[in-house]
Amino acid sequence: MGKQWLRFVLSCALLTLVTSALAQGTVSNFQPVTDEVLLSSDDGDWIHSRRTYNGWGHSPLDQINRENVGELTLAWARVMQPGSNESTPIVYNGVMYLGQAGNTVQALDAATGDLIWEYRREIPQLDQTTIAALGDTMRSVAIYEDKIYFLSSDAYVVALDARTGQLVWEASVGDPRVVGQTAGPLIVNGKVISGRACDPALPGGCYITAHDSESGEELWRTFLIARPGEAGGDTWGDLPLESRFHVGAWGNVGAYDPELGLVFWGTSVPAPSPEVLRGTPGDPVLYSNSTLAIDVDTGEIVWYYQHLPRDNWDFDHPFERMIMDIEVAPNPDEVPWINPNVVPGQVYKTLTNIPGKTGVIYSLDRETGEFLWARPTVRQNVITEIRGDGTVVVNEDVIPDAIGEPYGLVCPTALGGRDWMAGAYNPDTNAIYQSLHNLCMEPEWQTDEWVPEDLYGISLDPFLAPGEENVGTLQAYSASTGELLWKYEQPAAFMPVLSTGGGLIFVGDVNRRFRAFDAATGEVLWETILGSVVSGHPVTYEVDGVQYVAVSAGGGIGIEGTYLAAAGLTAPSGGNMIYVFKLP
Amino acid sequence: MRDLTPARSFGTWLSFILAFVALAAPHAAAQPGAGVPQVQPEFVEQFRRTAGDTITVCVNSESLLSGFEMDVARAVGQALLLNVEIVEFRGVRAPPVLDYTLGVNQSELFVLLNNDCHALAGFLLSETREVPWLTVSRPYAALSFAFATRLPNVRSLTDLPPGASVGTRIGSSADIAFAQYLESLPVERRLRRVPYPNNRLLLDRLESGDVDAILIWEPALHFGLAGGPTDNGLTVLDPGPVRLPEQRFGFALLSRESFLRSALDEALNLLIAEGVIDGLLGSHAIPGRAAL
Repeated sequence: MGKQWLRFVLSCALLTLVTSALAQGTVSNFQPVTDEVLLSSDDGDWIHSRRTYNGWGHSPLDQINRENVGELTLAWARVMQPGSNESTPIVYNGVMYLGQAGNTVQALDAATGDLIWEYRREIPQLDQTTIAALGDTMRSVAIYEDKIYFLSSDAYVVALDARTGQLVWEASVGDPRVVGQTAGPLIVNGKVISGRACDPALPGGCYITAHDSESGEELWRTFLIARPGEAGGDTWGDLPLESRFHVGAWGNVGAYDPELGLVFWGTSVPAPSPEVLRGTPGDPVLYSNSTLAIDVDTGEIVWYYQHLPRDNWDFDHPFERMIMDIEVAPNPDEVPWINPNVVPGQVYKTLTNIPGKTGVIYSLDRETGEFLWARPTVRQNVITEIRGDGTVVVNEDVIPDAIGEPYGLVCPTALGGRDWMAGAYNPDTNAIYQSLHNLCMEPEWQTDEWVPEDLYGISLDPFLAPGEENVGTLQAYSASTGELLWKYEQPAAFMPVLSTGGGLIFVGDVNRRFRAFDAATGEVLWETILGSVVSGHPVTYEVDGVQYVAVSAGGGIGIEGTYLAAAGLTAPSGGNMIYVFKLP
Repeated sequence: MRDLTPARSFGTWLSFILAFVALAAPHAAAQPGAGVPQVQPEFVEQFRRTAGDTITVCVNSESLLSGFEMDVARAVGQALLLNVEIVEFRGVRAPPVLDYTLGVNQSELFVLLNNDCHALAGFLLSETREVPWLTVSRPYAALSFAFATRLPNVRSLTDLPPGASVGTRIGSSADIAFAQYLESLPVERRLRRVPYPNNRLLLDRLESGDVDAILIWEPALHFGLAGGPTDNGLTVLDPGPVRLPEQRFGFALLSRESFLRSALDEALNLLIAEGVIDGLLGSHAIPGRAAL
């Protein structure tokens, strides 16, 4: 009986697979997306992963605002492919391009959700490591000229015809058994720029690539582990290159400054985590946990800033970066780490946001990489000091001196602080908004023997931070002064954030709630309950004069269950669905 | 040969169920190596294997010791007057090159022991895998590690000068023992530990002179060098004060196979006492000894 039931389920799944693969149409009146459009798109479009090159995750649309958001109603919803769902829809000229699990991209009528075309990539049976298998997550796609670009789970950069969904070109970027791609691409000056994660089974670490948007030719490849004999190469002691593992760029798409010709991208951790096992005690191991300023034309690292040297805890820093030209005036009452050379009130070209799992906010001069100021948000005990020159001093008390030595209490956790859930910046409030987690951990050494495929060599189970009552904490900070403006806490962890010109912050949580907050005060103005974990990146757009807010739910790479457990909650994941709201 | 990668017949269904349960259990899926997903006990009991007077033994065909493992399984069958059917399989991931770990995760192990075989040979007993559904037989073989060098006039680890580089397979139990030994020394007297991801690289880097000595699983030293260490100009060193661990191998079984486990233990006791295991190690040119 059990077998018969399973056969029935399998048959249904196959039928669904075949039928949906056949549905095809054409986007009518498609207008190619030029460089100018990418630089300054229509207010009604959501053209990049974070909408604009500056990475804000903000739309100026204000039809939905503080006064009327309480009237929001469901416009349409649509089932998505099963699997990890952290999707960011791209919306251009009334068409939504929706990347999702199963290496599937759909073009949908953004006003109705009706399917225009679908591309489903056939993936060979792969013997993938854990890191590579995470590549089924498609956090975003990109659009340029007449093509849609995405990163596949079999380690390709793929270009589709935006009108029809037909494959135009594909370019391999590595061994699909050990390479995992989740973030998505960023298109700059005709280059498809993308980062990824590489399992330690691929010694030498990972890389960011640029491909020609027309031909798929690889133009440059920037490695994220400093090579022996090159600048920074001695930061891994005298380890040979083949024993330097894992640093990648898996999290979110980077930011681009057209004036400087630089993209700003974040990097992740080395492996294994304990530096005494890694063979690099005391060494900073570049370019782990860093912001890299990369020349768009050459791939050269123009400057770097390392947010967390000597990683021993899986505290990645590969998340989105935000570009802001703002007055810098850190308030010393709240901001413990300030460059003494900062001129308070002066406008700087900054990168300001929370780039990594420690939850620490950094403000850097993006022309030079010079440190301006930094402050912690949630409880953390891995950084004891950031000196005026930006040097980060780590806490020796939470670094084992010997193999097997207990770590003790470490805060936050390998799930954050913050994780892949992108934050937002609202220029009207001059505030950054971020989903954070009040979690700590006591890492334990892996009892079985470590081999590179085992990744970190320690267990990283989180629990509620001592003294805290809630895992979820949504926080708003002044980008200029670093002052906490408001925070909203609850047991359920928050997910990605959207900011709008209507003075609203939209964010979902692992307990199915999707809410609109007043950007100025943190007051909850609207709430609805969806089918499962609200794991997608919300966006807003306009079609025919109507503003929509879209978000997908279903559950991401699986960490939601850990957040729920830490909060003592249960909630379903799966049942992937995109929900789109509008005013009546 | 059983290939785990393409799904097949009965194994297909169990794999589907495991995959389904894994997808529905985000907490487990989030933890690399977190283990097999929860499966209802009645499901496991429902598919109890019956095979008359035959026991089936899984052997990873990519294992360095696969030939030896098969012979041990056959010898056990002879001792128990049972037929032995060898099921060769390939794991989802190939085992690390020239290594003793099988590269089989808990989910794969669970599927193998439910679908394909009563016991899995070549199981490293130190990998305790604290799961209630798994048990292990007594060990039948104990294989060790060795330091080796090309440097002349070096016979013991203590002959190496401070600062000399010693390549190790990162994370191996010997690597950890060696690192702990180094940590006990004053900094100025320490050797330099250089971890590498696999044993093949250790041999290559010793050959190229990138390191002065290596610490390697002894069978890898013999199988990775045609003719063994001596014919290749290597000296196996006295480890001096470093207590090198032994890797002990046995059979893995489902916990419910308690009767079979007892029978295997008795058979292995007999084979070890009669020198059969030592003989098999010798015939396969494996440096090591029967586990006592």
